[in-house]
Amino acid sequence: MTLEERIARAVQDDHLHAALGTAARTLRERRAVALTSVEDVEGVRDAARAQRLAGIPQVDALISGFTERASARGVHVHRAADGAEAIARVVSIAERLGLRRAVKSKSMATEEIHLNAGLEAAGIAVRETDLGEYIVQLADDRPSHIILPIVHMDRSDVGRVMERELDVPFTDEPEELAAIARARLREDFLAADLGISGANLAVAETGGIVLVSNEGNIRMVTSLPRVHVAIVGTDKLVPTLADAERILRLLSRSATGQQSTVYTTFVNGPRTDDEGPDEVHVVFLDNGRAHIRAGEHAEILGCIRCGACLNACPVYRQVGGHTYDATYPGPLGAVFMAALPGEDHEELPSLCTLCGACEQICPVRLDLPGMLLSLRAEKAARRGGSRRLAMRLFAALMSRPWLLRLGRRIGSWWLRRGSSDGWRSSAPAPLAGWTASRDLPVPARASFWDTFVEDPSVAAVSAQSSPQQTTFHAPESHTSPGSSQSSPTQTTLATFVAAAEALTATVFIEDDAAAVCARVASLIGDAPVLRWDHLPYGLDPAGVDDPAQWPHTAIGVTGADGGIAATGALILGSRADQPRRPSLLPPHHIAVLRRGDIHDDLEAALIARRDLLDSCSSVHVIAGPSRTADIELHLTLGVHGPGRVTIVIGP
Amino acid sequence: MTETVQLVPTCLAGELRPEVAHASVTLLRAMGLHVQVPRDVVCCGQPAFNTGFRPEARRVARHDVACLRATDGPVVLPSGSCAHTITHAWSALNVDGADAIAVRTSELTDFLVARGALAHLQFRGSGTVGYHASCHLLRGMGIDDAPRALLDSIEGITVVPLQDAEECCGFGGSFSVDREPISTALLTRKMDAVEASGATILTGCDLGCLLHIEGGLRRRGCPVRVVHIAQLLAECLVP
Repeated sequence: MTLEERIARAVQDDHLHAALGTAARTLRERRAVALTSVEDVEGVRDAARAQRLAGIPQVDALISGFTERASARGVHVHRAADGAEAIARVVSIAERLGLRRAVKSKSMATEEIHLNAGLEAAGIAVRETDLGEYIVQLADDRPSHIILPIVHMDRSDVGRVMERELDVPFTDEPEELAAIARARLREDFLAADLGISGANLAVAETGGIVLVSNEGNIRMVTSLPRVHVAIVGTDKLVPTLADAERILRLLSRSATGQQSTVYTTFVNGPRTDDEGPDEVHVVFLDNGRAHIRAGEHAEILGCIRCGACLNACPVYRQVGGHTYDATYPGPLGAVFMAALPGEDHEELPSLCTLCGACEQICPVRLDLPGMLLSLRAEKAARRGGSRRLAMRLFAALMSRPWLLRLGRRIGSWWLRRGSSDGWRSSAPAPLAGWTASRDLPVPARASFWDTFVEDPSVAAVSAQSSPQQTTFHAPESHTSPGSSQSSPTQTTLATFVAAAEALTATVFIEDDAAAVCARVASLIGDAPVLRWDHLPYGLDPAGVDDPAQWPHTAIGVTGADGGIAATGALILGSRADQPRRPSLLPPHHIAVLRRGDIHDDLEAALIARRDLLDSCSSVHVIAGPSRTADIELHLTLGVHGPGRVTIVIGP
Repeated sequence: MTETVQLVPTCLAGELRPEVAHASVTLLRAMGLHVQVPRDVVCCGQPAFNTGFRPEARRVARHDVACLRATDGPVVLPSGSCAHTITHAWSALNVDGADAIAVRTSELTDFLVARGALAHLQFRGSGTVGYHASCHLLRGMGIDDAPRALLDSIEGITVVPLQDAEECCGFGGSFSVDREPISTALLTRKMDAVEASGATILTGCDLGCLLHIEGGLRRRGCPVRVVHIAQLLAECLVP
């Protein structure tokens, strides 16, 4: 289908508009609320923008820095010029180690290069594990939104896909649909030998990558298979951990309106213990980015892929993602795809009214309308068509008004023919497009220039000496009442509890070690649990020794390396004595946290616990139970990770 | 001794709706300003700029800059979109002297309010009014309070909110023809919002959007009166 045909189909699709309209509105409203919790949000956006733009030309240095630090921890770093090279890298890793079954988390970079088809052609089975991407894969469809892959479907669509492809009874209950996916995908996770992810950020300073997710599938993909390969666009590199944290502050709030996604995973290297991947590979993908970097639209490489511009774009909401027929739809997609080498997507910048809603919502204030305009200019310079002639005539007339005044008599007469009271209901091309749905206003009998008479009674003088000029008083500035710096611990604890409970975690605060142990004992009962080797407060519940039973254990008990008051999140580093599975596999995760380990926000935590990124193969920031909203934005708890999180806070 | 302002009526008002330009003159004169019209400045070049024809847009802009350089005082336009082109696009086109013109340039309602129109002018009218916030004015120029404050100052009218007031009406210049199906879909949403608001009058600061919506409402047979804010204010002006 041509672009015109796709548009014609999409604008008739009420089903699509209902789904998109609701989702986009909900996400915009949630975003607006979520951003209010960021202190000096406009300053943070400015700083993030400056940092993103400054990083664009430094990409080679950033890759070198990343490689040096990542290699020291045993990570294999590759560079791929294009999709074919990236696929060849993954295939050769798989062939060397005999890997045959891949599980994959949502990654737009892999969509870009059609990785799944490439791997399947090499005999490697790939299973998408993000709920939305799983449905896309089952339906042999493609994602229509970079954050919400199946935003074009409603719950019955999803139910029908599952009924048809998985041979299960039809249901349109999001909880049941998620449960079916959870059960099927759990088998895939446990059987897989290769985990493939993208990355939200790659941090040169630490040589680690950062991934955000809600369902827990990314933790599975990066933890369970023998090998983890991350395909990372070179635009995901940032210089420092502080830069990464600043972007994280904006990313989930802009994308889904969450203060933090449920899981923020810092992958630092291969396992240092009995779990986690034996090998970690990071493939930096160029795929046209160097071309963009050298051109006029390099700014688009500052995009953090939050998808907010899609939700803001009135055109996207009318036509949906599939109309773009491109990996990235919406404003960011129209720029990124058209700026790539070649002319395949040169029409996409025409899908824009220049309303500026995308620029306004963009967390890093990318000048998307400006780039769309300049891409239109590139196309016009390549191939102007008949419009070039029209525009030359236009420019000639507008810069020679005497000619215009002459031409006006003819044009005005011609347009006024067949009009009634100043309007026509039909017109020849190119104005027929207008009259398809609108009456067309015709020129007035006499133009303003014909009829304006300068008032001769007043003497004109230049601007400064006007007695009429009134001073415009700016409103008096009020000094803000200044937030009182009250005792941090009590406030921090209360903030943490409120934030965690808002995420539906259950929180208990106990006064001493004995009370903590009693509380945990009452929560777990007699059944053995998955657990960290060393738990605080002398806790020592019976563990499950048989690995075959691990996936079927009901409760996981862990300590925590910290808490984050602002988001109610836990910080868990993965080490030999602190395995990942207790916080990942069981449906109920109980974490024991010392109140002194609660930090105000992620920034403070990353500064205070920088040691974790060096000593742990991965670090997980966990904000409440695993969740998805892929089906009609309906919140479903407990997808791949635990559906229930209990936090016991001790002294 | 009276200050002079340069009124650039814009091509749309100048050719299609001269009454909007005349109303602008009325308002500026009521503020005690001497209004001159740089006769040879017809269009800001936006149609060429927005479709990517930069050499053609530059040619128009150069011509306009040359004309405006020869004049004194603030440059005022009854259009957020054209004011946005002068203040933003001309410098992007690297037109010599564009920056000096840009700092003199204002959109009409913003100019009126900055000059104290709310204290100096009195308005009285009737009807239920919906305000269409045009994109280039609202987001491009960051102007929303001024036109709303002027409307609120009209005694006797009721201003009603429009659903999704900040959403584009789908005009987008040549977009309305090039991507007619999408443009029409957006226009339909906007017209539905206007009809649902209970407004008997729809006003705004940009004739492009207003003619787009009016053309659609006419086709639909909807009796809402669409009128540029300059004209509405001039009609309501208490002498």
